[in-house]
Amino acid sequence: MSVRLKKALLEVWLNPARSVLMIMALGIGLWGLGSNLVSYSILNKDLNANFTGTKPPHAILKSKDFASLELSSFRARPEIDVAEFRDLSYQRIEVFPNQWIPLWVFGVEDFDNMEVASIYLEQGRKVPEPGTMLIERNGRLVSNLKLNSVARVQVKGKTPAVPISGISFDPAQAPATQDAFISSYVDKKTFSDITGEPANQRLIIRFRQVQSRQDVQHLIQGIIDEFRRNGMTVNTVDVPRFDQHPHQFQLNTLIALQGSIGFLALVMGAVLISQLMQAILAQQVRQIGILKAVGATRSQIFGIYLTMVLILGVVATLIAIPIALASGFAFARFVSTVLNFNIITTTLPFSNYLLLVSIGLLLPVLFTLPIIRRGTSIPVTEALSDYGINQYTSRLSTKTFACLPVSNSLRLSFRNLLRKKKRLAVTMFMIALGVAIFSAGFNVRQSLVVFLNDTKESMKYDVQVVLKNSISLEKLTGPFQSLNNLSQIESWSGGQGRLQSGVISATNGVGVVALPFDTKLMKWDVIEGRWLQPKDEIEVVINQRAADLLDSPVVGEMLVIGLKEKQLSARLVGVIKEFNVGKIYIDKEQYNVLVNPEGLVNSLMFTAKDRSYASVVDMKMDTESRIEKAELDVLYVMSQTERAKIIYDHLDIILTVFAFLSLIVLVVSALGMASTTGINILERTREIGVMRAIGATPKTIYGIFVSEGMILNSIGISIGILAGLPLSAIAARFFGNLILGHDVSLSFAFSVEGLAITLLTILFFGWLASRIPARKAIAVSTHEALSYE
Amino acid sequence: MPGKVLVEVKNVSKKFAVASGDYTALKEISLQILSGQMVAIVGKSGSGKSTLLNMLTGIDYPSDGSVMINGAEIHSLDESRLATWRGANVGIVFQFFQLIPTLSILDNILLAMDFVNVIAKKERKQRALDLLELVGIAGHANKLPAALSGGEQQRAAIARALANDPPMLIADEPTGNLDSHTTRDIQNLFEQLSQKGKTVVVVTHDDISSSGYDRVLTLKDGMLATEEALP
Repeated sequence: MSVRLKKALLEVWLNPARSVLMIMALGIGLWGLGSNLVSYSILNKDLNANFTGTKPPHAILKSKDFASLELSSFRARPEIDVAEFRDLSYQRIEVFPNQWIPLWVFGVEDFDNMEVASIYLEQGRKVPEPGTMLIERNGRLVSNLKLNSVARVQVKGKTPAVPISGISFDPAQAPATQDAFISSYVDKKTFSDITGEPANQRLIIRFRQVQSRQDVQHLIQGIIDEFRRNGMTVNTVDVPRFDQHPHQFQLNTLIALQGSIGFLALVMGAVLISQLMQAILAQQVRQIGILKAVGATRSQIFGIYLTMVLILGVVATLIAIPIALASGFAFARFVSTVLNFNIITTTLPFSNYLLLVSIGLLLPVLFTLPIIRRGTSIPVTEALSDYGINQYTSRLSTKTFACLPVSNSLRLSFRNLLRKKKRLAVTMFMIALGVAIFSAGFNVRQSLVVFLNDTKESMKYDVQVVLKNSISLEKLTGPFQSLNNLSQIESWSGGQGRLQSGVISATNGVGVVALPFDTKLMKWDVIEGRWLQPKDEIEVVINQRAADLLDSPVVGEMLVIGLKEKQLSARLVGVIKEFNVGKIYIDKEQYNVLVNPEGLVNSLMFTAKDRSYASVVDMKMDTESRIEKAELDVLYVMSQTERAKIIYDHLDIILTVFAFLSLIVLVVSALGMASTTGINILERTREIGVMRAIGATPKTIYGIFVSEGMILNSIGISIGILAGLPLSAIAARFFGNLILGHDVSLSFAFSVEGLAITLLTILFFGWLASRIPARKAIAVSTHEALSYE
Repeated sequence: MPGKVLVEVKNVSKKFAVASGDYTALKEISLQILSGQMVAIVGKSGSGKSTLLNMLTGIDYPSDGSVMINGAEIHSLDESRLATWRGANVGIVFQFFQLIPTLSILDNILLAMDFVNVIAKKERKQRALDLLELVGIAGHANKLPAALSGGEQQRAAIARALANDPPMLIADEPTGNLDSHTTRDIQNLFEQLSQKGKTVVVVTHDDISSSGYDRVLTLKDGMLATEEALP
């Protein structure tokens, strides 16, 4: 082994504490980034592969006239890849005694040969026996249902019992744990028997060679026109997103979060290494001089220190990559469980490993290159005249601290901090960054809590009953007049509407909600324009999701909306913010005049006298009992608590990951602080000896270094908390946009609880980071310190 | 036996910029040292001894004048070429030994050979062991410097200085940190080396009357005050 390589290796080996610190700093950063890279590779590929593996339909057409469609001829059309009838009916299923959630019942043509919207069998029978059904596996997590149990299904007021003959996996559906509904699959006859609806009225299609929804909409328009010419009326057209999973937005958020914070942690680790390298070079100035004196050129010495960095990089990479692989896969499995898809990746592409190794080796080299270059360029005379006690020339700080009413030791700590201003700035920046990100995590979490509370508060009712079809007010309200704990009932109308897109001649489904414009049961968060007002002109307000569907219409423009076979023009007067599917809000009276002359209603809002959680749960149970007795055909019954929980469940995973990643950044910050205190002590070893020689006790020296660390910590925390405020606002905007879309921001909120946790955490880390090196400093004897080279 | 002129210093001055203006450490010094001579440089603290030594080793550049050693104008070499030249032509011995603390004694010597690359790789280890034998510490080859006494460390430093077989050895108060018995041993070692043809230049405060020096140069206020040939 070359002596130079041996020297580099020994530098690492004989200074274990310093080497461990450097390896940890780089390793944590690499682990953070590597873990992100691994989970990103898996999730990005697998969620998509799971979803696209089902061959999701490009278009879904509904028509009562499909009986006259010759399916085999339709399938033979050149643009059609696959087409089949896959009926869908929205019913309800009892998940626990007297607790019902929506049930999507799919009528499948041929279980053995599903070429579009495929499902995979996990347990039981692949082809359900007549009268039985398969349920989607995720449904078991929100119910007591399992293979061979008999489910109660609520259909048009009846509750037939349907045995579960199989458990299937359908990665194209939103998970039951997130969206609180269960998907089920039955044969055509069973479909009609259970739902009472005719089969073969919903056609799902995949086209050949389509790249975008625009391509699909273009093709579908031709088909609809041809159907019309042949006397078939298409009632609804849905062009779903066939290129991404319904919950892709959560994954995008997680990936964006992971990537940015992981990279940040890595950069902070690299900065830390560069600081430590600077300290090593400062400590070894005389050694560099000696090496030059015995014949070493600058490039040879440069090579020794660069090799040292590379060795540290190799060790950190070797440690971090397996951990990153394990945690990346573990995180991917966690996300796959939450979003209900299977991890199919077993090995990562070689390029991923190459990238990780390159980053692990190159990043520390890049960050230390200028420092090593500068450190090794010191002239021999200057290097040999270094005696380990640096001169201190800042008269300004001497004067400033002279008047501080503190002990001499504390004053000395203040002065010492200013001896290396650049290092002080870098360390403070790292602490501040860690605190800023950590506190921003809590603030964003608080923003989400505020958003959830606002959402909950915006709905002043406690339980909502939505029917599948509109009925008369009397018939709907009748069963509930004597509902326990009832304070107020309000009825709304509406149904499925269609927005005429300005870009392409196809339609998009949205929910139309017809409600009294002056309802007291909703408090709107208007982000553009205003809420509905009594006017002669027809006005509508949409939520931000509907705005996205319409390619961000301008408030004030006229929208064409399809409502119950009619088309009407309405002026868009506002956009509201809500965590919901696309919705159009219209005044109930205007709606009745236009499309609902009989004044039928389809939803009831109940307000409770006692709005406590337990009372509302009781009220909901009572509501369910009355629905069953009255044989109402209900789409869903939901309490606001449940709605808030659904929203929270969508966001919880994001918040958890954010908190974890913020903690990593904070730990790297603390390592930065530990390294700075360690470096200060290392550089001033001889000074410590001098201080002890003139009478300083170990306690005094310990106090000076711990004080230095805590002063540094306090300033860093203050800056970090202040910097955390704009960062929180930016993060709230970023998350708002990812979660809600349409460039909608979450409101900025400050978490006092978060502030307390941040302070306690960083002060603890800071104390630890000062204490360990300070104790090490006083463990050195006066003789050792004075003879230190 | 002294031979050709190995060192020729001509009108060398060295000034340092300090807060109160320029400080002249050396004033127009001229001297010659012959190959194989053993020369002592003496003088009070601040007389310019170490500065002169730095000129001879190429550790520092003169402000004026020239330094020619073994045919090379060292004041005209850049830092890298000077380092390589130094490694091959001058062995330096410091007062505080300055061995690399993380390397064994043997590796300290091998490192000097590795940098300069004038000794064939396959010969290096044997040469290093021979040098340690020469300075009397062969049994300590694989020990770290901290495990050796001051005298032993200085012997190791001398062995390192001889690693690339330079014609000249320059020592800056090599015995300043050693007891009188060890001082005598080190002085004897230098004498032996001089007798073997090495030029030895030593800055010292020791008694030089019985140490085998050929010449004594006395510096005072940056100038060559006296030059005395010893019998």
